[in-house]
Amino acid sequence: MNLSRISARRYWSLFVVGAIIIASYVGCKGVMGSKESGENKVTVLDPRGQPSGVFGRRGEPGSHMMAIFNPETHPTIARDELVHLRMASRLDSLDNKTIYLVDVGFAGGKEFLEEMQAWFNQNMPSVKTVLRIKSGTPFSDSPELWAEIKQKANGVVFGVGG
Amino acid sequence: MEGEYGVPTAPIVTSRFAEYVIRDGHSHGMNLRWTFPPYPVGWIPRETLRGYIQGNDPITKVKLMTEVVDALTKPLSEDEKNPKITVKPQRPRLLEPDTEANLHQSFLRNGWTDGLPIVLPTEERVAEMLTGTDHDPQEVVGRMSVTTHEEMKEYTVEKVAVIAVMAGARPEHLPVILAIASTQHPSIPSSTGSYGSMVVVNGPVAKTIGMNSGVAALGPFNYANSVIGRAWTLMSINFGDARPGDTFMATIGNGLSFTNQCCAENEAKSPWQPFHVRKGFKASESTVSVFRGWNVMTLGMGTADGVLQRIRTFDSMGTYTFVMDPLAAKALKAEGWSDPDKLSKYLAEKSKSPFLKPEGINFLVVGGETNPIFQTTDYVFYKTASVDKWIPKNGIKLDKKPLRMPESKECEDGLCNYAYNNK
Repeated sequence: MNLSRISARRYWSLFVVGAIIIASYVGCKGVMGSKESGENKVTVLDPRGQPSGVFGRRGEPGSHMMAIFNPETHPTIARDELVHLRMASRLDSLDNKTIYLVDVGFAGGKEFLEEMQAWFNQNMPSVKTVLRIKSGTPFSDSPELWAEIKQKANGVVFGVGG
Repeated sequence: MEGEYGVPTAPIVTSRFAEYVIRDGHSHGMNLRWTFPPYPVGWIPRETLRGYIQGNDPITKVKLMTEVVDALTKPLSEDEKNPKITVKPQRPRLLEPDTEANLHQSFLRNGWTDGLPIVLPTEERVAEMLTGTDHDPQEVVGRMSVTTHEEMKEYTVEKVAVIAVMAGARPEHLPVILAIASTQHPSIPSSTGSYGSMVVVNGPVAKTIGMNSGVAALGPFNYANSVIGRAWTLMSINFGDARPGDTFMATIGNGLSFTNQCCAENEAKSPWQPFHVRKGFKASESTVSVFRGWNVMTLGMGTADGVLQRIRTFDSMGTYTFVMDPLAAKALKAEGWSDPDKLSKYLAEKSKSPFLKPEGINFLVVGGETNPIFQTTDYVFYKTASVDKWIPKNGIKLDKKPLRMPESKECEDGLCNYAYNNK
């Protein structure tokens, strides 16, 4: 083996090692993306829906439990109509007033309001309380009961949601 | 009661939902005088409830009954007399430009995804997706909310295309995704009971876009089934404004919600008329049908009495949807039930449940004939909507080489693999 052959092998080895390093670098850039391209800014569209000004509201009287979850049967109200929803004037006191305690239908509501009724009897005996269980589901309207409350009650406690 | 009947009202909601109802009242322009007992009030001893009545509101730390009395008697403040309705600003069409890495993080941090990687909806990708329909990108498709009362969010064809890109769909899938969007049903409504949903595709489009109705139709082995089902939940998050613990209150959640139960009906193997035909569409029309419930309750086998046994054993809210392997449906037909609607009527009568109506019992034929079983769900059928109206005049926009995952071989006459392997 002469010196020139050793020298040629050494150069050939260096060439192969260099080529591997360059190929690895180029390959990595191809797979990972170059630093420059990773920092390129892109524009994307907003995925969120737009406010519509339309709100859901309580279900129709006697409607099925699931009706309020159905866009075709779920009543809605527009923002412009909401301005008509105002709070009623308050009572001077509860003395000798009639207060309806209305169980809207969630678990424990009736028992909770019975305990509240007992509290009124013990602590504010002049208050007449009437415990009523709303008909239908917790999500449906009960216009007959509302009319009765308007006619016979001075105030109302609704519960227990959630 | 306050606005329409003029009666002062003290509403009571458990403390777990305090933030929810306060925000909701404000969005409706009412500063209602809430009282918040601890949560829950159901299924607990009387003594505990009495303690709640005599104790403090855990949110305000005020005596609970003092709040109730004050709610009815304390004079209205100026803010209460003249509440302001918050008007939410319109969203921009484009987000601020940023690097892809930052945008991916931003979508996650903002809660705009399902937690899995998405495809970013760049202008180019959305424009390509929109080639999947002829409809105007700015055409309004519908409104949606995961709650029953908050402000609904409106969405256009372009917004639906954005969701389709995020889900990893191609233009060929867009008409089906638009049809789902047109139902305006979120797949994840905000029930504390944690809903699951199902969407079933009927008609020629299912085959055109490579949907699976056979072996593992409801499993993770089909591109179209997966991205279409996923798009439904991504649109529910973004159009329905689902924010966990805020607008979305499903206490346990539902693992089905990632891609929902999304498949095509196995019309070729079904002994019955396709589901959409039973709902008034032509067999040649393509549709989506949406279902929702809480539970996939049990498997079943056997005849009509086997189905009836499942109804009697498993409570529901008065609805059942049976997802039947074709072999199970064929067994029922052999028993004489050539019309599933008549079977629904028979089952409703035999169940003797006052809540169960024939229209509340539905049958779908899905599966690859590897087992004559049926899944019993408490799903309610809501709506069947047209896919055809969203398909371009020139037909479904297929890629030059549409992406398809490996398909299960059809099993004919019970010889499935044997027959194929020996051809």
